[in-house]
Amino acid sequence: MESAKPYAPVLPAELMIQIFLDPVLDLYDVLRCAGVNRFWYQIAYQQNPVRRKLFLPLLDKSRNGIPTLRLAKGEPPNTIRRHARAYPQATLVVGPNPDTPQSAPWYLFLHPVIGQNRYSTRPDRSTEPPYFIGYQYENRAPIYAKLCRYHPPSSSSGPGQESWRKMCVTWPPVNKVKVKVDHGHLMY
Amino acid sequence: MASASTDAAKVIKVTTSDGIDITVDRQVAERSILIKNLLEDLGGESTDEPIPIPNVNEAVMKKVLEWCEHHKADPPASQDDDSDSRKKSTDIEEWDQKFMQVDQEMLFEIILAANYLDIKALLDVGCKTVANMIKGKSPDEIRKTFNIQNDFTPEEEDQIRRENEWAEDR
Repeated sequence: MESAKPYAPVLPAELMIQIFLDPVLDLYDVLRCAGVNRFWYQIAYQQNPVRRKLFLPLLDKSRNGIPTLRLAKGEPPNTIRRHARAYPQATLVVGPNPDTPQSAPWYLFLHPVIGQNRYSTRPDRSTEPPYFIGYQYENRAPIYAKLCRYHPPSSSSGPGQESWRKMCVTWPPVNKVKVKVDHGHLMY
Repeated sequence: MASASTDAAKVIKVTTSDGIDITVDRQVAERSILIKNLLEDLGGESTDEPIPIPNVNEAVMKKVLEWCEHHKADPPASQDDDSDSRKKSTDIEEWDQKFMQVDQEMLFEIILAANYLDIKALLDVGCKTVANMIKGKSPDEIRKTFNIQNDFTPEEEDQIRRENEWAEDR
């Protein structure tokens, strides 16, 4: 009988999105949802309204679905495009890497929170090209300063870092902020 | 004659997917924007003809109409009001909470019906009920709650677990 079969609900994507966007669920809840199955993972990482909730840069279909921030001319090679596609939490930046300006003028910028562990526990991390810039979320003040310096608001017309900047400020609620003032300069 | 036609317009009939005719107050049925638009398109002339609702069965339709009956006097939510109240409200009003205490199959059928019939407030309540069932649960607990198959490969699962490490011990 049909009633003996356990019921497995499948809601269309638009309704899944509405559920994920409900204010009852916070950032952490949505990230846990991404681990349920492939469909839920896709809803969390491939749908722009949900990406906005996760403070992820929006996917741009006209750019092969890879969030890209263009600061310089040039086309990144296919290897880095493959990396970018495999990391839903990354933005492909075309422009000099602020940490290693001598290297190739493109790199992947990881979400300041999501995906950090995936990168830091990669066994082949040392052999990876210097594509990835990752930061510990505890150091979000320097992240914020860096984002403002290297990705000024005017450069974020494409799907860029704006949302990450917003996250640094608004999520999660800040209990303590350490600020050191040194000779009139704001130090983090 | 005029009064007779007004009376006739107060009650309408809908036919569910399993071929059952349900008679219902027009005001109640018009909580459904789909039905409201259909009736307006029909121009009030053939309202004695039952309206076919091929996507909703009798049990679900009765449940949905029960909700519409209770909420028939609610002011229609304007676009602004709605987005505002949706942001603020994390609570479901008590009557709606009781209404949503149904088995999971019925809950999801109600959500799908509310979506099809275009009853936004009911859809919101349904989605919020599901969101409450998800809140604070691990992926595995969510799978058990909704009887969802895990279709990740072990490698993918390991990778996602690492992505979410920071989110899990909370």
